[in-house]
Amino acid sequence: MECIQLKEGISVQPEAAREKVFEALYKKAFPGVARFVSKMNGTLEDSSDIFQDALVIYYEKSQDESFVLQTSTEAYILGIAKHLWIRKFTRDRMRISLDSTEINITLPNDYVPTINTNQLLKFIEQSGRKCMELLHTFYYEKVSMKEIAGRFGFITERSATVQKFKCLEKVRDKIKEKSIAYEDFIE
Amino acid sequence: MRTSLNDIALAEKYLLGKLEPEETLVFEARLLTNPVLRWNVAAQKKVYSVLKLYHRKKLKKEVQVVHQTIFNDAKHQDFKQEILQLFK
Repeated sequence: MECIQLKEGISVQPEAAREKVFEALYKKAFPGVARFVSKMNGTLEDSSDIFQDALVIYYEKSQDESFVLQTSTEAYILGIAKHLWIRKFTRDRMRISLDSTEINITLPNDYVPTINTNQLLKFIEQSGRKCMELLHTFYYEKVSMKEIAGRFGFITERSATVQKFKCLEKVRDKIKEKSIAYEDFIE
Repeated sequence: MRTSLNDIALAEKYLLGKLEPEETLVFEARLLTNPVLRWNVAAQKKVYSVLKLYHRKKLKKEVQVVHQTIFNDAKHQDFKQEILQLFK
C-alpha cells in the first residue's frame, strides 16, 4: 500500500509566522517567476497562479525532514514554477530550459487532486467542518492533544484523543456514503 | 475506546507503516478475510488524502491573502510596479 505522508514531530509555524514567511518569499521569488511567465507570454494572473502553487509546494517540501535545499530558495521556487508551467502547457516543453538542479525537482504526484477527491472535500466541508478542523489541527498544525483539548473544548486530553478517532470515523463514513463503489478509492 | 475506534487507531498505524511486522501480518490477515474492514481502511486512506487537499487549500488561501496585501498596500508600491512592468 502506498505510503501516506503525514509528518510527525516537525515543528510547524503557526499561521501568523507563516504569513511573514510567505510575504518574504513573495518579495524574493515572485519577480523571477513573473519574468519567466512573461517570457512565456503568460499574463500577470498566470504568474500569480503558478507562483502561489509553487509556494505551497515549496512550503510543503520544506517541512519534510529529509529535504535539502541545494540552491537558493528563489531558484528552487522558480524551478517548481517551471515544472508547473510545463505540466499546464505541455506545448511549451521544448522552449523551457531546465538546469541540472531544476531537472531533479519533482512535483507531488497528488498535487492535482482527482475530481473524486475534490468532490469529497466539498461535501465534507459542508457537513463535517468541525471534524475537519480538529483533524487538520492535529495532523498539520502539530498541536499537542492537550492544546487541542483546550481549543476545541474538551476537558481532558483523553477525550480529545477519543474525539480525534471519532472524527476520523465520521469523515470516513461520509466518504463511504458518497462512494458507491469500492473502485472510487482506486486512483 | 469502543472496538470500531480501536480499529481506526490500528488502521492509522497500519497506513502510516507504524505497526510491528507481526502486527502487520495479523492486520493484513484480517483485511483478507474481512471485506468490511477492507472497505473501511480504503475509506480511511481516502480521509488522509482529503485532509491533505484541505491543508493545501488552506495554505493557498493564506498565500492569496499575502498576494492581496502586497498588491494593495502602498508600502509595497515599488515591488508592485516592478512586477506590473513585466507584463506591459
